[in-house]
Amino acid sequence: MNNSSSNMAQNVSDSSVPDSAMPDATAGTDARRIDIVIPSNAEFIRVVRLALLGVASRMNFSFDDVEDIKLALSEACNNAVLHSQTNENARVMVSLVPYSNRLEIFISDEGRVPPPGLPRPRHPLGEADSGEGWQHLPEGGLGLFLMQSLMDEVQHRTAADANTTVRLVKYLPGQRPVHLENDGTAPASPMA
Amino acid sequence: MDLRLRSRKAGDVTVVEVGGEVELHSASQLRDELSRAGESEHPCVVVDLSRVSFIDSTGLGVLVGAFKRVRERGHLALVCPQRSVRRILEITGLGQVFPLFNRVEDALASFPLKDDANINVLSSGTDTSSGADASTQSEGGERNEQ
Repeated sequence: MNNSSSNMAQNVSDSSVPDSAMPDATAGTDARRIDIVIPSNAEFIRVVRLALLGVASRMNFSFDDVEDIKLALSEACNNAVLHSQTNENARVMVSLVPYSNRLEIFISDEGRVPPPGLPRPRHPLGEADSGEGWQHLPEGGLGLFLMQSLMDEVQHRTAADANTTVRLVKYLPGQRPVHLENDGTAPASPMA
Repeated sequence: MDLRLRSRKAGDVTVVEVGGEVELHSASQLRDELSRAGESEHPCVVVDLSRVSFIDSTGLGVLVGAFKRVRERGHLALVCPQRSVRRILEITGLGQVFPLFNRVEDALASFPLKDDANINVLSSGTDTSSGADASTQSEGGERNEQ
């Protein structure tokens, strides 16, 4: 697999999304935040993709960037849906927050079972065979890898009630902070 | 866009045409279609992704699973001219594993011919003067080799 560390997101997997970065913390001050709520059902994830296209296309992202964000967001929504399978009335909440230099996305689910460590879903297609060469190819678990490869920041937190929130960040071309390479944090400045 | 699937025969090769979005919701349909395509003793399968507008890790997993199963006894190739799909295959490293082509014709030409298929063509009495194409790897539906 292509696992270039220079292209991988700063995945602060064991540290939660900071409180100050949670979408509720900025409620009322974030006039440009777009919230989408869908049933926790895979057939509705396309609705989220369409909303994302509506927001990202108005920013100065390249075509490739928009495609990357769309896929990473879909993967996060996939995880949210799979994580909530035991909760019949569960919803998936997505917040799109455009800033002057980046797009932040929050995906929250209403799962009742805490994920084991990283939000790695129970893949419906089963596990990869063991063996040599192509037989080693993984059939599942690519979602988290794609999120980390396609986004600049990936963070997650799981609350005591097992609700999980994932934060994805994509910087506009030329806007990625230099210090992000070192400590993985980004300035929290709202869009003017 | 909903997933669209259509399988057709091109000689001994099964061409599975995929269109729309291959995602968590629809990937099982593709898996079932590829499973049927790979049922023969020596399956040759071309998965035509030319009309795929979106594919996620679930879809990639289905392709990997089909490749692993078919590869044991036959051949599987992907047709994907779109840059967006190729990028994801490259990022995940799968671009180094799947035989990739821009056109179905090229994928078909890459498969080895079966000796018995050639014999069937020679003994079928096909009237070449009518312009009928007796190639076992031509597109356009089933050919009566008997």
